[in-house]
Amino acid sequence: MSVDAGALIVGDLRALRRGRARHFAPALALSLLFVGGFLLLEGLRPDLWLQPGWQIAAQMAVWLLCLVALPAVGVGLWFPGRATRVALGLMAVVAALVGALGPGLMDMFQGSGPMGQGPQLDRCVASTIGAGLPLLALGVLSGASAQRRRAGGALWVSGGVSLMALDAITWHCPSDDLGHNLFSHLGAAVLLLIVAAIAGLLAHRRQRAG
Amino acid sequence: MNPGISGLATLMDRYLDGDERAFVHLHAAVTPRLRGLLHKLVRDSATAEDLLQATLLKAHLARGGFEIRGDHADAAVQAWYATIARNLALDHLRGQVRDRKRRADAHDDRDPIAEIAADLPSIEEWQVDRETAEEIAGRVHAALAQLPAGQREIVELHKLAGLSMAEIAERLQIREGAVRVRAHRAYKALARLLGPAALLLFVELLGERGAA
Repeated sequence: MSVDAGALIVGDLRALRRGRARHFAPALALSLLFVGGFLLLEGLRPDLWLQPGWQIAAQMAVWLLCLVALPAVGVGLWFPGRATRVALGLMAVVAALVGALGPGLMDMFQGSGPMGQGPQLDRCVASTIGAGLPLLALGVLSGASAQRRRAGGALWVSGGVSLMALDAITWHCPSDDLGHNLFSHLGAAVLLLIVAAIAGLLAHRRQRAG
Repeated sequence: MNPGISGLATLMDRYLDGDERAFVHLHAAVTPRLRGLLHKLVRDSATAEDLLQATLLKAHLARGGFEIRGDHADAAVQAWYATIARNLALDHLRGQVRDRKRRADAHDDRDPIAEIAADLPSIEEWQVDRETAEEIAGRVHAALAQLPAGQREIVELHKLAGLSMAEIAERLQIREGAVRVRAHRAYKALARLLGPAALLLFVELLGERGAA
């Protein structure tokens, strides 16, 4: 036998990754289209570019994470090591908090922020979940949740979906009320994350079994 | 990076998810042991290398069925590859035994000299001209003269007179099995006396003579 099995296998794995990339490029394009459509219909917040630079940077980081990094890990296009995965997770949490709450975050830690609103179902909760559900359906129906052997892949995709919805509502709603942003934006995103995680795990179980 | 045994399960897990870098590291970690195992089983470096490549390909095709069970995940990966390698080596060894047995079983129906010639390179590979061939034919006849009379007679009747084994047995009034045994011994002795190249030429010359 004059074959180099190692080279053949590496070639096969590269082809598999290219296939995944081709498969999920349309899903990413649809996600962008959907989020863009949502912001176009609902309107961007008037003070979007008047926010502090670090808050805008955090929101941009969230876009990058939810559109590229987390789905890439979730569908098996990127295989970072354990340390990088932990860093990604922490970065997602910090960027989401900073991007969504902005200066209110400092006030929250100092205990002096405006907390005009407690937990309540308002339009922003509905918008966040409403924006996230089609993205979640896209993730489940495209098979993104079932690409990795372990169910963890579905959780990365779910994280991407909920961050996308969070950033969309953050770019739409101009509220600087800590209570509103904490419960109606972040709270709704966490709720969406839970729903997306459950749906993703079920899809993973079903699609992998099938 | 050479993780040895530790870390194999992590690499395997990532490889199964499609991570090519993990496969490269896994490949580097498992192949030395597999190569050693296969060499120990088949006792031939080239065959062991072929079987190693076959093992990796077979494992790749069957990787969907791999599951880590028990507490010794890293050892499980090593054991999985080793099992595939061992099975392939055993198949290979069984195939060799079958081939030998088939040859022995088919001995009655085969031309012993053709059997020897079949394992040799083609005449074109030796690139000898007619003069050389005739010179070797002379050596063949000299070698024939060195054979015991009973063996020489059978070779002459079989290859030069073109009689079948049954016809030779009838003519010499001995059992056909005895004829075949003598013929086999004679051709082996010729191969030893002449070397494979000359014996091959002998076969070719006889073939041309028969065709003429």
